Amino acid sequence: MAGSLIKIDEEIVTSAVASVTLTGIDSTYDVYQLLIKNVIPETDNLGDLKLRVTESGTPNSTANYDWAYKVLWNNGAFFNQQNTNQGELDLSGVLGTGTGESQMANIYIFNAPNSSEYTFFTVEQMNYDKTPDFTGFNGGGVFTSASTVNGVNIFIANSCNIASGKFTLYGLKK
Amino acid sequence: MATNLEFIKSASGTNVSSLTVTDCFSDKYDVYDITFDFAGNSVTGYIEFRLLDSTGTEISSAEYDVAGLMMRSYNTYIENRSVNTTGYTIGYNQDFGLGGKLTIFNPYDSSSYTFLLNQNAGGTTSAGQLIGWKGIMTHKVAETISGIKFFVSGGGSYDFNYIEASVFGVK
Repeated sequence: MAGSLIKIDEEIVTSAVASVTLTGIDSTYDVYQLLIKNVIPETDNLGDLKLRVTESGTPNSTANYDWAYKVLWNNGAFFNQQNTNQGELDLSGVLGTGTGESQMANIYIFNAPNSSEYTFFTVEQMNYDKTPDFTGFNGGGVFTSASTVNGVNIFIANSCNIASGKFTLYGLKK
Repeated sequence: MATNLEFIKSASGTNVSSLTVTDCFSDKYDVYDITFDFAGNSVTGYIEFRLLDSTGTEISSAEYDVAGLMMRSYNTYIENRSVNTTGYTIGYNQDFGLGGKLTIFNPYDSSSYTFLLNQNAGGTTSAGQLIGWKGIMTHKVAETISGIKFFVSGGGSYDFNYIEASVFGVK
């Protein structure tokens, strides 16, 4: 693994934006890694963090996203969260703006540039939510359309702006 | 081509009850990958994890929130979770050996909490039992973290046959 990570694209948000798009996925690498760090919403208790793939730079919002997670949290029994045929991939519970309520995630992306395969994701995520409870998603997702994916678009549900955060896309060197 | 995963340092020990990796974080990186593996001299007890503050002192105050899922091949899963606890149970003591990876966010940032993702798998000689682990941890004090410590909760004879850890910075 040492020396195997190549930065493809990065966006550091310091003033509010509606979404972040990272592109540059192509056949150079088979597997890509998305690191999400310190994401804080502009509005407390409004929405979850979401992800859509981009095709030629345009987010795809068709109902082709499935996911299944085991949700870990510090304050009660763990539970399952799953869904099918959604318009985006869910990446968190409802985000908050209180002390420490920021969002981190480590996501691997498979098959994205392959037009004959679905795009798969493994998701490790954690954040203090709006309660604030400390929670983490562990699981995976899929974009069930065989298309050429060239990037990701990240946003918060219910038209909540992203106030701050760091988003970095890497390729895993072959 | 320059890459964005850079080796920082490693540490190891044999027949020890703890392993400390000092001064492995800096302002050069904000995300770190840490690989670790060990074998225990016992098949009982848990492996614990703590952070070191800016002076290298182990943080043992009740400042951690944690959640982990212990997945056993031979029995039901166990949920480990706690609020305001004194450390993080990172895995089980495995005499077959165990390997895993931590991803740590913000350790050197004095204005942010430190967050950690954990995954590992190991086994014991007693029926070759596999235990997989997925977990999360946060140290909910905004301060500079300089290092990490692994230790065996049982102490005494429940030590590591060997343990090693390597720290990488993600640019």
